[in-house]
Amino acid sequence: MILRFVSSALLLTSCVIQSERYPRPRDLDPSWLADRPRLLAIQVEPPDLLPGETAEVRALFVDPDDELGTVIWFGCSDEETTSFGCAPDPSVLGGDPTPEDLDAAGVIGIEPGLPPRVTAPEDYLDSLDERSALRGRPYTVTALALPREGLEDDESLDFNQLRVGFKRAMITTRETNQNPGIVRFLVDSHPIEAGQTVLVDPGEIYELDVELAEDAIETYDYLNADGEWEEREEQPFAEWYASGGQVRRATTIHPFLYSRWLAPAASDIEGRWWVVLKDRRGGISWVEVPWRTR
Amino acid sequence: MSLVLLLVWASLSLAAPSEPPEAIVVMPAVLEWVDADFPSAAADEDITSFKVTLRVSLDEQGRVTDAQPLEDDPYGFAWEAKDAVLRMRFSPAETREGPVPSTFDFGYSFELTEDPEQEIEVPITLEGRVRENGTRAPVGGAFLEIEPSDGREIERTELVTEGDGTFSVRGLPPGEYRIRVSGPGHRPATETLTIEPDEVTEIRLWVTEDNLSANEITVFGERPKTPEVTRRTLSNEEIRRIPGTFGDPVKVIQTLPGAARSPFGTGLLIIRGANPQDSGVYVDGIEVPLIYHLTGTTSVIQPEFVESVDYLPGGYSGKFGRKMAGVIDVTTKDRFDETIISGGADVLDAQVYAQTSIPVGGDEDRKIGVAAGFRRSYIDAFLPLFLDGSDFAIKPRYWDYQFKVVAPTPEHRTLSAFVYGFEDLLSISTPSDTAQGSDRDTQGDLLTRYLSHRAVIRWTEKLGDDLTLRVTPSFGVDRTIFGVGQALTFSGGTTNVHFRSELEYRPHPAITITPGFDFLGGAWSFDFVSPFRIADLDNPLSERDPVAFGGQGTAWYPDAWLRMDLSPLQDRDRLRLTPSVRVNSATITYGGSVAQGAAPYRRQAIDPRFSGWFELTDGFALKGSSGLYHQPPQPQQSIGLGVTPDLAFERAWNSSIGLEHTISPAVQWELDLFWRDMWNLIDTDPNFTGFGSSPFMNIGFGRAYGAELIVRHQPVGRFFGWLSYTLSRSERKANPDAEWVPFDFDQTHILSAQGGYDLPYHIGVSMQIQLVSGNPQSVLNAGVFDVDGGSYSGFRVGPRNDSRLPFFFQTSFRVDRRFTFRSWELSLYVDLLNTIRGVNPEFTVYNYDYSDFAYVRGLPFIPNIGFEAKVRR
Repeated sequence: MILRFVSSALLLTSCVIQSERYPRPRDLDPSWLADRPRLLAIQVEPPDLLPGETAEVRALFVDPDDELGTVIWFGCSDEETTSFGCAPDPSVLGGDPTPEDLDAAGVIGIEPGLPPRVTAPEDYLDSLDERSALRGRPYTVTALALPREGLEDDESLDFNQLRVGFKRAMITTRETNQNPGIVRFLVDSHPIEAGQTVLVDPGEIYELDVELAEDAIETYDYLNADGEWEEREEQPFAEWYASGGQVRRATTIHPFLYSRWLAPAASDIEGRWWVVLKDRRGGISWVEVPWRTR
Repeated sequence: MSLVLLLVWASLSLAAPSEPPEAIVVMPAVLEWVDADFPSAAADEDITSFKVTLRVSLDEQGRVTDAQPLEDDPYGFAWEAKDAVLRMRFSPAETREGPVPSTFDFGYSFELTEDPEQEIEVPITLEGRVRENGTRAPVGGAFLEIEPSDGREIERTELVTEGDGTFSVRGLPPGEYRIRVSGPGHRPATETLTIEPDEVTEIRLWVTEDNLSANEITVFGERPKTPEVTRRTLSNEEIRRIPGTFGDPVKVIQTLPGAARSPFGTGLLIIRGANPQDSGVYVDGIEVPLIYHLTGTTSVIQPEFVESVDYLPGGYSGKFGRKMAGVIDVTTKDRFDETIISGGADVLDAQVYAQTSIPVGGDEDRKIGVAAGFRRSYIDAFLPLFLDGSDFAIKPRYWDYQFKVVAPTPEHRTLSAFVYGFEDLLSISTPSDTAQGSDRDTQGDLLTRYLSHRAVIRWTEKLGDDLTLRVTPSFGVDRTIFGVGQALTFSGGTTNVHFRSELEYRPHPAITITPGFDFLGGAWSFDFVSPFRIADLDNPLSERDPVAFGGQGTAWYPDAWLRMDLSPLQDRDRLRLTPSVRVNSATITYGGSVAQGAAPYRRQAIDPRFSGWFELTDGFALKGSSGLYHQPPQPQQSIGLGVTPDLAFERAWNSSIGLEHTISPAVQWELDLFWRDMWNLIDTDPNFTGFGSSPFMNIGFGRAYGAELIVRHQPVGRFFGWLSYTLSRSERKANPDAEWVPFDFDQTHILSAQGGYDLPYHIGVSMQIQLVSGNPQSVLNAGVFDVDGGSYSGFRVGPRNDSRLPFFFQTSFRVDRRFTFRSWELSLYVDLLNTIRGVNPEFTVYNYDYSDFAYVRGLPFIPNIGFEAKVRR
């Protein structure tokens, strides 16, 4: 009896002091949620470059409330690359730099106005032996998106106001790779035409998938560490994003590229899906699809 | 006229020993009784009975050194009793270290009988034995009162059982009787019996141990004369009842001063601001790779095998080495006289244990002691119930076994063999079509496995009155496997021999010289298989080139040590000085693809150490220690890539000074101030260039300092408990010119209070409160997106560990109830872990781009319900 009483009393006292004072991990925004300014992908076309060759660069930014302003692009060699991409010269952000200043700072583009382009230095592979040159040497492009407002007072600059991302372009002596082709977006196996808004039922779960182009998964020759050529096949993976609802699998790997998405419970909610496909060799493509709940 | 002894009992109240007390495991018992004369002045006053309580002191041989009546009387009973007790002989009190001096209160009763000669001629009418329920142990010194139950006017008979629990009564007239038995540490019991004419009635009486069991300390002896100035030992009963420790003796270490709180209670040993790998854990002096299972809840040795656990946070002599910080040494039992079968289970695991002693050739005086135990967890079966709906299945699993044989030996020798081992397995598995990330090469189950076996022989030979040899050879096998999916696997292991020996020589009562040899050696090997090169880890676009390499070799650590224990004052126990020296040596040979002919690694170092203990006044002592401690590189650090690593031993200079004070037999306090300087700390080489260089170098510095306080109430009466508080600071710096930064586990305040109280009906309640500073952390301020890898890299502005997690606070309760039957006991308990707690952040997690963070909180409320049944024969 006493034991029962004491146990019950203690069980009742189980509590956490100040339990709501700090957020829990489950309260943090998930990586698939793209409901504020974000950089989701950078594409270099073509993803492999020969020395001296020039490639176009573009980025997939999400900016639902038009908060992003200028995007400054930098290029740097792998030796100048840190864990955070190219290390830009902060002075570029202020004053009125000349084109020479920008070039010296590694600026390869400023948007809007100067679309980013990367040109592989002619001598970029000169220091490598033949085998290493065949494998390639990465060259980094970094995008720095400034907020449209809030940079007037340097003292109050919050780094989280900036959107920074980087990507490697592969400089090789034999250009082989292409960005993976996506034919169409699929919702519950139904193809979605470009620009079409998908009507979804609130609270329902949908299977999202992509149909790949026939040549999206490339086979290629690779000179392995033993000096032997071997044929390899790309192993692409997809990153899924949504501006609302709930993505059940944020990253999927071929051949299970499909993901699942739970629609918001409310009606007349508009949003977007994005899927970014990466071939793991530097090739990147993406599709953006709008949706609306009935 | 003569006397009949009526009552002998040793009370639970205690006299003050001169030094902090140590748990008594064997109580003093009367071996030779001496009758006292009944004072004639009392007889003249028609006084026929009287009781005197004396405070009796015994020496290590059980000889009475003093007996003081606690109260005087006008008839001279006190002085007659004193005279008799001074001529009596007792068996000495014993701690786990052996016989010790003791002081206790002793009752001596007088009764006047008219004609003792006539009494002897009366035939025996009743005889029997008193035993204890559950343990079946005979109860000597129990007090019996026999009186008619049918209202006849017969004088009540009172008597005391012999040491073996037997008793006999002469001349009881036939009829119905009520017999009441009581005794120290036992609840009174009453039985009825019938005395038949011309027959001897036999009866067995059973008494139940009171809550104040024999395992709880009822008599204190003196502190063992150890060379370690800071050595803390707890009794088994205290240990088993601390909530949150799962009844595990080793786990309790984490409630003592100097031991920092480990994340999630995982049992990482962070002692006096040192890294976990800087402290050593030993079983019978033999080093073991893990002392806790991976769940952190229990140690790898079943509590039934544990005789004692010594916790040495610092200042220990040269006997222990290869570690810069603390030492935990678990000593296993060497006596299995009783036959015991026990089993228990709770929400974590179930265990069985058995012990017995077997006569050799039918000779009851020569017995082999045998004990065996096995434990298996089943938390892996329960966890999926709580993870329903998750794609991941977390399955921790462990088992351990122990087997010990104690050989029958003459008095001057002890010999035992102990074989034990354990396996820990932690797997995290996923369904085949669920990605854990973007990389197929790292898909699949995550697996961690530890496997360890040891065989240890302990041999002690007393070669003479002043010479004792102790030898402990052991053989062990350790294996570790870590894998991710099918592709990434590390497996390694050692086959090792650990040999300890020491020769204790006491040429003079004031001098003990002990040289010792501590040899650890064996073969090591490892294999590593990876789908990608380590150098490509930071480039997600790098092509996969599978890598496989391995290594093997030998490692030898033949260390020698010498210790002197000096007692230079006339009063030998007043001043103890212990200088010691240890010679450390390491030789590591390399083979395999990772070494490619690298020359052997060789290093030596000498550790001078000193400690002292001085009793300033009765019960008040000053102590201190200072010494050098060298630590060879960790196994993973001592393997260069194609080269011999140029690594010196890590070093620490440990010093401490402290006070200890015995306020009363039950209450003591201890205060230690410590300082640890560390240098030559090994860290990764920032200029590491790959194969042909060593990834590690001696570049780090450290320091830790603080104060430790423990106030302890021994389990005297119904209460036990202790309060420990550590105020400390532990810092590191990467090079001589760098700024000091807090160590990762630096905890400024560590307060731990725990206590238990015995309620009636064998119900015990206990409680634990912990309040600890949060660990330092380096806050990440923002993140940069690596598009190729699809993940952000967090970065921070500011020095390392520039902020701290919030305070940790938790309270746990335990209620246990013991049921005692004739030949077995049943204990039920409810451990309510983390009943009241704070948010208790263990570490910080960030959202995907490091713009927000949250805390991963400590363990939730866990009601752990369990039982233990114990049968004795």
